[in-house]
Amino acid sequence: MKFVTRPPIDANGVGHGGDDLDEALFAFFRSEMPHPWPRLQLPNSAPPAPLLHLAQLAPAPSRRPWFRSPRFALAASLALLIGGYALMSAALTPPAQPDNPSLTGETANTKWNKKDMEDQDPIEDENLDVHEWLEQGKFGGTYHMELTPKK
Amino acid sequence: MSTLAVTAAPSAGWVNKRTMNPSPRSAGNQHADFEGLYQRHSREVWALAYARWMNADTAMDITQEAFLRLWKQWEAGEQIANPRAWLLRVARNLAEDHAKSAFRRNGTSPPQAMNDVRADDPLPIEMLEREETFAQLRDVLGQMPEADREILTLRYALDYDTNEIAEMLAINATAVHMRLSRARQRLADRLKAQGVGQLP
Repeated sequence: MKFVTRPPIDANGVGHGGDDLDEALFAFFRSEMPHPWPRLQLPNSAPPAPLLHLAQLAPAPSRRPWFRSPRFALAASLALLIGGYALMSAALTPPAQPDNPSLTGETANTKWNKKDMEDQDPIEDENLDVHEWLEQGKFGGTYHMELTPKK
Repeated sequence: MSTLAVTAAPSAGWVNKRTMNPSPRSAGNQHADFEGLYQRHSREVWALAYARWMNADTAMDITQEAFLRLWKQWEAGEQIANPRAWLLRVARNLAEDHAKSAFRRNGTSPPQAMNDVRADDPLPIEMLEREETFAQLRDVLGQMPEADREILTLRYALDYDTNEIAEMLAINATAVHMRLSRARQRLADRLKAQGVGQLP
């Protein structure tokens, strides 16, 4: 059996000068390589995205009615959200403080705000009886004030 | 108009880049660029896969798959600065994946056991001798370390010189020379041990 004779192969410092083993290996590997070399099989697809014009990549103008567009849906959702929040805020706001709070009944625990305290001194309220006294204790004095509705 | 263009570089593959290009390349040109890439690097990819499996058809399947994946990456707009390195890395991974699937198919039988199956067509005596020698070579190569097969494939299948092998394997020329010499010596020893001392 004869192999194709090749020129020496150690011109670049590789191999052993075209001996039998080299020739056998060249012939073997060449026989293993596909011949002719197969062509590239690419799927039939659109041109790669980076190669398209930007105009081609832009979305086509929509023919849907304006009220079915996604932007309209988003705007409507936001409007409903804000409107609902405002409505709920108004509905759940606590009732206004009475102008003349008393310490009786259901308003006994109502806290007065600072403005109410400035505008109206409960001590001078004609509807209240005020009793004040000072109790002297071991560690200091305690001031007591009792307000009772006038009978 | 702002476009995205792909330019083919002569040696390092192609580079994706944004550019202001008034006349973008057509899809046909892009196919041609990719075809050029295939022509430049497909044999290297094939050689790596072949060195792993010692099977030309499997190696070609892996080569085609690697290029197909690169094409898909390209389609997806991924930027691959060094397609050659990308292809070689993907080919290695595919070859390993094939190892797992081949093991499932063949059980513990090495894939090389099926490589010698040939058609029953009568062959001239010289062809028969040649096929027998090649079968012995294939068998011995299949028993060698993958690194040896790899460097032998690059040298003898692609006819690469020291510098080309060094660049592809990312090692220096001295290491290439040493590895290649040792691989050849191991191959010769194994052939001799199997009684294939008289090469044609």
